[in-house]
Amino acid sequence: MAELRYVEALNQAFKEEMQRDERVVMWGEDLISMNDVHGQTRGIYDEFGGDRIKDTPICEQAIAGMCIGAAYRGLRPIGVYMNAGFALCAFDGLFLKLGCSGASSPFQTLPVVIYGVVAGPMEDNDHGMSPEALFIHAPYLKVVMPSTPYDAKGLMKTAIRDDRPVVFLDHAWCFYMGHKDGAIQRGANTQEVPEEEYLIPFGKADIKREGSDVTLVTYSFQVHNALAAAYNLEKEGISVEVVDLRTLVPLDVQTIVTSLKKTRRLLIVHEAMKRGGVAGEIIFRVTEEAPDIIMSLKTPFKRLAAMNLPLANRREFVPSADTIVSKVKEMV
Amino acid sequence: MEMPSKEILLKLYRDLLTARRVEAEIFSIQREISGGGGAHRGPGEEVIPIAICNNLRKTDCFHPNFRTAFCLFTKPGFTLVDTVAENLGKRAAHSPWFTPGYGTMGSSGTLGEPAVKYLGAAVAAVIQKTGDIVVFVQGDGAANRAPTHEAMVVAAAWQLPIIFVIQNNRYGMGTAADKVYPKSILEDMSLRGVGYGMPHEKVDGNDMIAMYQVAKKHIGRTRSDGGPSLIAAYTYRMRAHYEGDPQIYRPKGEAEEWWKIKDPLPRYQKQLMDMGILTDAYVERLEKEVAEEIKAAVEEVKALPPRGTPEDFMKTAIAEL
Repeated sequence: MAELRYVEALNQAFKEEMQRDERVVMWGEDLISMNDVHGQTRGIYDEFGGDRIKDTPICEQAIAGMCIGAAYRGLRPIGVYMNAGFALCAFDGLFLKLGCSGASSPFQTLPVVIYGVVAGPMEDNDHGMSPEALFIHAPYLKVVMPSTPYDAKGLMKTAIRDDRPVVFLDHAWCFYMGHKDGAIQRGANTQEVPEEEYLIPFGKADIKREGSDVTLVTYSFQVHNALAAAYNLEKEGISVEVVDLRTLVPLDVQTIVTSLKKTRRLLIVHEAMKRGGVAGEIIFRVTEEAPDIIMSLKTPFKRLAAMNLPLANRREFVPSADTIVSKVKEMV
Repeated sequence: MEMPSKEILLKLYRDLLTARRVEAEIFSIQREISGGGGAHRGPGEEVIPIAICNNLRKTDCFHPNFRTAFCLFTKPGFTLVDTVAENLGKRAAHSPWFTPGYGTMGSSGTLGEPAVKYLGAAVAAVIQKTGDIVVFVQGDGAANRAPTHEAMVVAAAWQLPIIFVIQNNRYGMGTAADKVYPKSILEDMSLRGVGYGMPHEKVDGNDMIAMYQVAKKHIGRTRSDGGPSLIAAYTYRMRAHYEGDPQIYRPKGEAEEWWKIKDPLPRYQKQLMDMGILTDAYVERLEKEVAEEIKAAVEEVKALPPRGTPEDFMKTAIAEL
C-alpha cells in the first residue's frame, strides 16, 4: 500500500474512473493550466486528452449548465469549482435545476458530480466559506464532505458512479495538514491507500475515534480539529467519540444515535455558520429517530459552529481544536 | 438564396396552420379546466420554431421560446398528440419539452438559464462525435440574462455546434425592447454576435420563406463544423405577457395594428397563392383536415394517464421525504 496525500488519492479516483468509463469527463477553471491549483487534476490531460478534460472560460454558470446538458445527452460530467464559493455564481443551475432535477421527468437519471474546494477560514467568504447548508436543502443533491485521503478516494469513485447529482466538497486544509499527536500539523493528512479498487457507500458515517463520554459529530476538516481535541481531552480523562459523517445527504442518523445511547452527550461541530447550519438539522433528525433519547441525556445537545459573521480572514470565527476542548469541558 | 421546393412550402403552410389552430384549441381546453389565466400565449410567433424544426434531425437539440412550445410537434421525433398531451398534463409517447434523446431537455422559469444546459448538449455532440447540432431560441428579454452571455462566450471559445436565436417579439414581460436595448442594436440584435466573435444575421421572423432559408443556411454551416452563430428573428408579441395581464405598458391598438399587416398565416397564404402553389379550395380542404387531426389528437390525449404523479416523485426522494 502506498502512503498518499489527500490530493494524490483524489487524483487516483478521477483517473481510475476515467479509465473505467469513457463517458466520464471533467471541466472547470484551470484544471489543465494550473492542475486545479492543488494538483487534483495533475496528469489527466496528458493521459486522457482534451475531449475528457477542459479548461473553461471563467463562466461558472456554464460549468454547471453544461454538466446538466451533457449528462442528459449521455456523458457523466464532473463540473469543478476552484473554490466552493464560486459555485454560488451558478446557484440557479446547481440548486433550481440540478438540485430539483426530475421536475419534468421524475425517473430521468442525471449523473453529475459538482466538485468544489472550501479554501478555509483564512480566506474571504467568496473563497473560504463552507456552503453545504445551502446544498442539503435541495431535494435531489447528495452532499459529500470527506476528511481523509482514503475516504476522499472511495467517496469520489462512488460519486462518479452515482446516477443522480452529487455535490462533493473538499476542504483545502485537508490537502496540507491534519491531526497528529494532539495538534494540527502540516503534512500530517497522509494515509495508506490500497492498490486494489474500493468504494465507500454514501450514508455510512465512520467512527474516527472511539470514546465513551461525549459523541462529537463532525465532517470535513473539523474532523482533524475534533481528533486533536479528543487526543488532548483523553489526557484529562475525558473520552470523546469522533463520528465523521462523510456524507451529509444521505445522513447516517443511526450511527449517531447508537453512539449517543452510549455517551448520552452530543456535540456537533461544523465550520459553516451556525444559523441554518447542518447541526440544527442533525439534532432534529436524531430526535425523530430516537424521540426518547432526550429524556436520558446527561447534558443538552450542543453545537459549535462558525459565528454568524463573514469570515474576514479571522481564524477565531470558526471552531478550532482549542474551542472544541472548551465546549466539551462545558458538557462533562 | 434557393427557394424551397413546393413540397416543403406546402408542409410549412400545413405546420403553420396546425400550430395556429392547435394553440387556440389547447387554450380553450385550459380555460375550461382552470380558467386559462396566466397562460403565456404565442400566436403570431410560430414561423420561427417551425422554420427551424423543418431543418432539424430527430437527434438534434432544439429549445423553443416558451411562448411557442406548442410548435414542438414540428421537431422530428414528436407528434401532435405528444404536444397536446404536454400542454394538458398527460403522458404521451414522448414529452416534447423533455426527451433528451430527441434533443429537448426542459426549460426554466428563470429564462435564459437553459442556454448553458443546451450548450452542454453541444459539448457532448463534439465529444461523442454524433454530428448533432443545437438550436437554442429565446426571447429578447431572456437574451439579456447572464447564462446566455456565458453560453455564447464558451460556444465561441470552443467553436461548438450551436446556433443562438433571439426571437425578438419586442417585449420582455412588461418591458419594451427599446427601453433596454441601445438604439445601435435595436433594429439588429444579431450585432451582438460581433462581440462574441460569431457570424450573425437578422431575419424577418414572420416571413416563412426567409426564416426557412436563414435557418437552413446556418444549420448547414454549423453542421459542417462551422461553429456557433447568432440569428435575430424579428416578430411581435400579439398577446399579453400572461392572460389576464392588463398590459398597461403597451399603447392601445398597437397589437391590432401589427396583426393586420404581419400576421404570418394570411401573409404566407397570400405568398403561396401569388406563387400559384396554393388555392382557396386547397386551403379549405386543409382547414378541415387539420381540424379533424386536432380533434382526434385531443380525444386520444383525454384517455392518456397523467404525467408525473405524486407517487412517481415520492419514489425518487433521497432518504427521507
